[in-house]
Amino acid sequence: MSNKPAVIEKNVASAKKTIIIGLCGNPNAGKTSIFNALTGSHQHVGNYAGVTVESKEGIVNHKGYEIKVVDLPGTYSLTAYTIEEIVARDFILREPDVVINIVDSTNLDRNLYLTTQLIELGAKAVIALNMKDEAEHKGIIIDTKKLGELLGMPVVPTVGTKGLGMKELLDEVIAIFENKAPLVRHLHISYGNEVEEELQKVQTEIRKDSSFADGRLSTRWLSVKLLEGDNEIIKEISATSTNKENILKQVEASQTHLEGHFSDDCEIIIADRRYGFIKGLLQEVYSHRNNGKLTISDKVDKVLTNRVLGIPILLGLLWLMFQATYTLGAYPQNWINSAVGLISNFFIGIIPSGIFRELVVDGIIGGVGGVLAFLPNIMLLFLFISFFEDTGYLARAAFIMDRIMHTLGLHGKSFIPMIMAFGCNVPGIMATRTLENKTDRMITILINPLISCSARLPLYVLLAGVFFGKNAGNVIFAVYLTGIALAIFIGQIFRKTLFKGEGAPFVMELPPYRMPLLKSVIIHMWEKGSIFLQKVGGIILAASIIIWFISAFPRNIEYSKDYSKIIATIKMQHDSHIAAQLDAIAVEQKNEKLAKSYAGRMGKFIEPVIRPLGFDWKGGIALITGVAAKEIVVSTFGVLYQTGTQEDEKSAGLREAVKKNMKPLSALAFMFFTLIYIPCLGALGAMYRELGSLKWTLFAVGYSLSLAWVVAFIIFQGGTLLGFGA
Amino acid sequence: MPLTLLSVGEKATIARVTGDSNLRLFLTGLGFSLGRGIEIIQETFGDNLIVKIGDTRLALDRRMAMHIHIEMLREENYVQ
Repeated sequence: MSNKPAVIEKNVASAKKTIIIGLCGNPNAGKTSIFNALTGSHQHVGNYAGVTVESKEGIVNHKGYEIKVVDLPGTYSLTAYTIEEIVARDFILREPDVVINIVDSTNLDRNLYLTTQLIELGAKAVIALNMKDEAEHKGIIIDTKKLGELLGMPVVPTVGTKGLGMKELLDEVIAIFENKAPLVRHLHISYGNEVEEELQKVQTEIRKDSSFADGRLSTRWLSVKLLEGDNEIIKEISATSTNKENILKQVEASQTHLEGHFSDDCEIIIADRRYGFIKGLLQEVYSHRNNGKLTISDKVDKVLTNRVLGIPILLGLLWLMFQATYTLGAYPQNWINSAVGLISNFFIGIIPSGIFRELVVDGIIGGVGGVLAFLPNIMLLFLFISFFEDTGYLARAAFIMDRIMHTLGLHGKSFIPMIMAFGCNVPGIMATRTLENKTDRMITILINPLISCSARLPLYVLLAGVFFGKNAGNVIFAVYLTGIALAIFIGQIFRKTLFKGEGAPFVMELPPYRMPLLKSVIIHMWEKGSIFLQKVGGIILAASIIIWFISAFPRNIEYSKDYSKIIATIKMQHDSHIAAQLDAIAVEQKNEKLAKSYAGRMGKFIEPVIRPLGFDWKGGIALITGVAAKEIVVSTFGVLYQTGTQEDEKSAGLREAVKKNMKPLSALAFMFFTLIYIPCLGALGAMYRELGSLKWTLFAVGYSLSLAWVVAFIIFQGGTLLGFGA
Repeated sequence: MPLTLLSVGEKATIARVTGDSNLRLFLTGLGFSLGRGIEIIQETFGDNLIVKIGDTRLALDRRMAMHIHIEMLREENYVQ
């Protein structure tokens, strides 16, 4: 309970009055759609300081108030089992003026369990009774007014996906904030005489600690949590309370007493009473026609999660996804390439030749443009993943794969981060948050970069295309497969050495299958894809400029020959091969210039280490720059191998140059090295955030570098021994 | 008896949830609470289960299913 979420402070002095509201609710209750409906486009994604759970914030103006909406992680209760729950709970305890509790009308009993805990916390809340349309469709009838009276909270029916009920929701938020909501009253959920007596005793001990006198935390809530054996609260009390010995002693005595009396565990007794409260409530407000039948969603599940068919269907869908991503992506990719070409010609036209033109055309446009070309592939991949997610299939995919993943020492929920990683490792690593168990998460994060992201593809396409002709597709496929195999292999090693013990068992709610709205799929695609764009905008732009700089400077190099004199001599000749000679000498000059540039010196410095892998200093410099982002490996080759000065078919030139400079075997080793070595800066940043440890992030750098070296060494030296070196 | 013994289409009520306190609280929040009706919808590859509690569908693996103990009930006593 230590990390205060980094939410902007309440600004009392400003002219506009500000209200902070938190959205909480079960996963799949439609929180995101309500958030989007409330805030429209005025939102941004951030992280809670110190923890790894994402927060989304947005602003909406209503009746003269500026309302800041914070979307909390979806939780089933406010216990301490998952990070999401702890974060949501901390936030609700400390920050918001009003909480909007989003409740799925089709699943009222389970969703109200969280509501009972909000009541206990003493949170000021309004209920958004969401998916009202689906509930009606299913024949569920809810007496909204009465529900509000019984809960002591206003209840507003909403349909988040259609934006219905948002104005009413905000009206209620303001009414609560102004203390004008007639329904609001604080009620106690009664746990029965026996439990209540013990709660009293614990509460009395807590009240002896004067730091709780300010009413900041409900002492009743604390007492309930202590009786439930909530680890976080026990930790908090034993760390901070002046009366901790007595409190904890009383808690233990009460627990023993109650468990003896009911011959059941304390938290079970308490949970039971909460459900009792909900059951009583529902009897008054809820009725349901056609109960208990198998739904269409169940029937779809009979096929899609079938014991025999489930896995083949999943693999088929993944195959379709990758096929579509690369075939459909090829068209916009060509358009982007042409556009980049036009833009760089435009700048060549308007900027006079010199250092500034080099910076703009070779550095910025060349570097960033080369990476932008992969945007369509990445967006398409995320479009498919978002579609699977929104239909409800992705949750099933994790479940179907659970058994296999488990045999591999991983968790079913590790599957989704792995699939995301094919697009980009950053969202892949962030998707590990759904894993409850810490060691499961650590392993999944550490092996995630071994899954080849789309940024590495351009290099495979270039090298495999140049050296393996017709077999290029197979070679690329083999690289991908190696990545997967290594991820599994390394994962198992980590499980057996560093993170011993069994992973968490699998449990997950399966939302009913839905046909998602195109708009929401696109929004979700955009949320994932924009991470990639931010990278292009920031890291890659900076890296392109740096790479250009280190390869273009120092400007005044002492050449081994007087090139201008040689060129002048050639021009004097009346030879028919004059053009070819001029070209050759220009390339020679360019190579020497590069070798003596900062980049060349760096490449030469690491050359002894990578020589056994068949790479020269140019490969070395490409790998160094590739740490910024792996797309850059190709653009560095582009800068390094630029042959003519005014090349129109840059890529054709690059292919030629690569062919002259590399051998097939070293190209193969180079592809595998690029697959495995240090994750890019973006991925490293994500790893650092999610692992929460510099030590483990550095470990990831170390293990991936050593593994890459070993694999490339085996390929190159082994291949040479077998006679493939020529 | 543990939930794993129930077969597809059979209904029972939840009699007990085992495990450490955090896990039990979490499972209770998900809907595995005492006395509620539970039905197996589907057995998937590797004997994992999809169950129905109320209107919720939950997926759980064998190890998690071992934490849920049930009592077989006759149809008329089934509580949604």
